[in-house]
Amino acid sequence: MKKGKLILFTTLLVSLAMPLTSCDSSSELTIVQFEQSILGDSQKDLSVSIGVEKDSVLTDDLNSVLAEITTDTRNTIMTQATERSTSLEQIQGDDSDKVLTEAPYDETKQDLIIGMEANYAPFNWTETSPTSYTYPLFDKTGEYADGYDVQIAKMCADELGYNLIIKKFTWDALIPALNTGEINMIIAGMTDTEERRLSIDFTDPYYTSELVLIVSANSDLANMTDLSELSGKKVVSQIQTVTDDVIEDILVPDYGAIHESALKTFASCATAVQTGVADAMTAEYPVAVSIVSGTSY
Amino acid sequence: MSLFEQIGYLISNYGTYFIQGLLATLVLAIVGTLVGLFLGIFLALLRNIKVVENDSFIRKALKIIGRIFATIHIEVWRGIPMMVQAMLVFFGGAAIGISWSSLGFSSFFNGYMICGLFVITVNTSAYMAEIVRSGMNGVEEGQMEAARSLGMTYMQTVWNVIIPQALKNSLPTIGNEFIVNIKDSSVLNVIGLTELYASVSAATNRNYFQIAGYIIVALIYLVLTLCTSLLIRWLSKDKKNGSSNPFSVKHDASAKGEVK
Repeated sequence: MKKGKLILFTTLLVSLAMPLTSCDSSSELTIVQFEQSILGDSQKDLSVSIGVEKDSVLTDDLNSVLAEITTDTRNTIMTQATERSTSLEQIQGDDSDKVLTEAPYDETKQDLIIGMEANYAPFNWTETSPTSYTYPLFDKTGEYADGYDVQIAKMCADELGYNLIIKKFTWDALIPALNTGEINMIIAGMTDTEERRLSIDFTDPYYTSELVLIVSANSDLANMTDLSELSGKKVVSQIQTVTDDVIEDILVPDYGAIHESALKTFASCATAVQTGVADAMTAEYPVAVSIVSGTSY
Repeated sequence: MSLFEQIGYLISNYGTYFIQGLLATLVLAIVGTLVGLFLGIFLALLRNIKVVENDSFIRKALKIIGRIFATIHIEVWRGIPMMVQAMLVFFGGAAIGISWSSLGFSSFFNGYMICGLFVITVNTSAYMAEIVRSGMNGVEEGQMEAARSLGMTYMQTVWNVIIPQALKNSLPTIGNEFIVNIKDSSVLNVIGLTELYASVSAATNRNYFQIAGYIIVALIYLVLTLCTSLLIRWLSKDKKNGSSNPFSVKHDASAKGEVK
């Protein structure tokens, strides 16, 4: 009796595990670029800004710091961040003095608490160990934030003379966190939109990018020449993002795409495209580069 | 990389995340269940309270207020999903001036953890109250009458006679609640708490090995819940055989003919 049960149980387990071995979760993805003019008015929306509380005194100070960062510097920081985020091996950086295992704290300075997802490479992501680029996440043991946003946050705190504190929140909790005073500002690759301006304010943009599509490399869409090929295809993006609004406002009415219900993270969207749940996803160019090389291993 | 290589990569590079997540999940489930059970016993007593004719007016009023409080508490905390409760307690609390992050006292018991513990404990207490109450109702009324006629007070009877039996009877349900807590603590990631479920997004945010990551945590959850059910089964069997209840002594081993 017992032996029979054991055999039955093992067979069941093996038959359950079988599909896993053949599961192809590493199907390659590719980027499809297109003429940005189709975006019309929303084209200007593809830049990211720092979110601050309504009528914040910080806005002017931040704008003056951001104005000093040239487009070249921005592009360099983004290129380096993308390089680090797409490498399987951790890139340490040369400057070992800058490796922070704990956030520096100066009694005489005020705190500047910044919220981000730390899950949106190359804007912001999480590392397991500190490098000269990372900054320790508040109240998270062994979690260090890196990315374009982190470098911008460091510059702002340094220039304005604050203690930098970075807190990790899920995307849809960022604005509530800002409104309730949990954080002082959002640097999370967030775009300045009318709807968000109802509850928070934004600074000037600190990075401007381009909207692209990510599709499976072996699908018909990989060699897409015209957006009308999206007709009848399922397109997905992260919940409450501008890239998701683009699907609803432009790709569905103008090109007949089907709007898949939005997911929690961009990583989930990438998995959706890899597994065929969706045919394409929308993303900002740097994020797309991260996703495509990240999923190629 | 094949799926198995991906799993290996995640474990060797991000193993600490999964262990930290596992610890957080275990602390949430254990503290939530035990403290929730403790609070639940009081709530069950409050809810079961009976107003007696010859009570003074103040006594009657206090009893009624206690019963109403327990009923509202149970219905409200059982009737709202824990994810919504977590958002309301954390951000709602912050809006009215409760700063959860300042309540944290170590990097593990940080503000998110304290808030998470609060939510899961209070949520569990509502379920536990109903579990304990139905356990108490399962104890024959004759026992209360017998104990009272022996000269024990109402509270003495409840603590020494009714509650122990009620807890013993509801042990499988309490264990079930622990399993539910292991799994449901995952919704607390909405307030920024990195428990087992949230550790996947931290581990895959750069390599996008999401399927591999979720397979790892699925297996960890499964091991946790399986161990718990085995433990509960063993505990309740032990209790049954050792009890003096005449209805539960001889019905399992000898009846099935599997005496060792």
